[in-house]
Amino acid sequence: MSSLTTALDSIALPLPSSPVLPRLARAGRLAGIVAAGALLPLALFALWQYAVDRQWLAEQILPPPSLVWQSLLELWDSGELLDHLTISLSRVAWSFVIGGGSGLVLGVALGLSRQVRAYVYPSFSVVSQFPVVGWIPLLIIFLGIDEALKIAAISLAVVVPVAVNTYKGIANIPRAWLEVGRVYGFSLPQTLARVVLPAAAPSVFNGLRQGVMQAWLTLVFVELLASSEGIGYLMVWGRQLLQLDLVVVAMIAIGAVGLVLDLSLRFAESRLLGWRRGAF
Amino acid sequence: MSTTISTVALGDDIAALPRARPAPPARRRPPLKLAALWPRVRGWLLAWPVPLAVLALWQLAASYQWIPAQILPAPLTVAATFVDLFNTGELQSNTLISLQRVLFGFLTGAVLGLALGVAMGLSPLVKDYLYPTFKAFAQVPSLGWLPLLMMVVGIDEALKIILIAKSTFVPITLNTYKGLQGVPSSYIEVAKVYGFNRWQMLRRVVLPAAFPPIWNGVRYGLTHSWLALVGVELLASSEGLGFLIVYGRQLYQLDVVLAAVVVVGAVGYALDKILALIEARLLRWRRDAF
Repeated sequence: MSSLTTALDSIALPLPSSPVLPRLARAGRLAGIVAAGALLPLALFALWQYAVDRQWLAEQILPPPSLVWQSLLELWDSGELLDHLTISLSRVAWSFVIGGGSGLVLGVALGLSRQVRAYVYPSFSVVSQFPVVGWIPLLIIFLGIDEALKIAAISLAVVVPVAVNTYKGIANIPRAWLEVGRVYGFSLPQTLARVVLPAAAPSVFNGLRQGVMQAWLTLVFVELLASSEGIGYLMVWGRQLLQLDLVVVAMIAIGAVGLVLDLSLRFAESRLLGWRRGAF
Repeated sequence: MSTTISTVALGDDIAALPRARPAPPARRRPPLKLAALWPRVRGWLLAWPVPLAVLALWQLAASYQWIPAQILPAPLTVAATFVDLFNTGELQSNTLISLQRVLFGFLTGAVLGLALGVAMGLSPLVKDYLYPTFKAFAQVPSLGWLPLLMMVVGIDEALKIILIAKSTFVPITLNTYKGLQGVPSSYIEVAKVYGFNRWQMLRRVVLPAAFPPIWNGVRYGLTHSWLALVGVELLASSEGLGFLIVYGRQLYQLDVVLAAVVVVGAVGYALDKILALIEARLLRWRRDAF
């Protein structure tokens, strides 16, 4: 509870709003926003601690926050957490390369060629309706429950958003831009490199980001279902041993990695597409 | 996946000079001609070779026993199983159970998501307090909550509803919030010039302008809830379409698995199409307005 009251105090503090120091005022406002955002998590945290103190739920079901923190430190120190994360991330990375690569190829082919679009797009749009998790039981039978299953399932999850967004990015290029390219007498490679790619890049990036998020989600699922290592397995294991602290640690790790993946892709996007801000 | 995207024909005429586009003749309603229908028919026809080839390959593989029949049942077996499951009513009852779960989970998640999204979109105060927590909450994919929830609420109906509601809640909240944030400020200024009060502003400016992204969120939400349903039924269920898949796999009856997978895909597709149709109806005014 004490943490809650400190948060309240920091909000109630009078914010410095002297016109001479607008910077300080802005920093104060920012601190206020941060404190406001921290209020709810702190309250939940306090409630959690309180529930444990009062034994509202059995300790096996609701471990105290201190135990979760301790397990987190232990798993980190012993390197176990990192091992599991490394395995999970390498699965995602392979699948992202395979699935993202084939998604890009498919999307570009769909976007550029009317023939490919006519033949393949209807089938593709039907197949992409099937949720990836629905394929997994089928894949288990074909591929077993080994590494191949995980890579195949996660790759499938990446292909669809990447291909769809690449295709739409190319399909939505304003006609006028292509016409300007023709007026300049661009050859086909020139048109691709100087008009199509730059114009479609934001949409492609969007697809890649969605793909990574899908991959991470599918990874967790496939590791919950059939795995003997990786971050999802850590959760299953913790649940089977009734060590809920392990489950919570694994959830925190999953959330943190998801966030880092998304932020790093966003950063890469803003670096690579920074010229757009100047151009428009 | 709407097929009504304006497609730019690249490829074959990319290098050619721009062709003079004939000006559309100024008649109101062109007479229906077979020639005008031809491109559509052609597009429809061209869609078939790929799936038919895959089907033929599948049949060949089954009849030449390239892969044992337990692992790859012939397409006709799958069709027969499908009809069988349909006639015994097993397929319908499982689909119905799954749909019920999705309906309850989706409604719960959608109501909560719309409420939170609107609250955060309209009030900066609410946003400051809740948005960071919401972001953190949304970071863990729905199925990641499964082991924890299993311990807390058991593996009953409640688990499924909560998970489905969670996976609906996140995209709807996010899209509603972003949609309300993204209303062009010029619209609001015009409304102020007209002296709209708060209610009028909401009803006549903010909601219509934010509707497309909000509806987008609803569609995402439904897709995600279907995905979460299949996931949770695969992991912990004794009825429903996902269970049918697990059951078929455990008995090595791949025809049952395939039939259930087809239904899962078809239902997901139908759900999304229904929402797209509703959207087209609700947004008809936009075509005239812009």
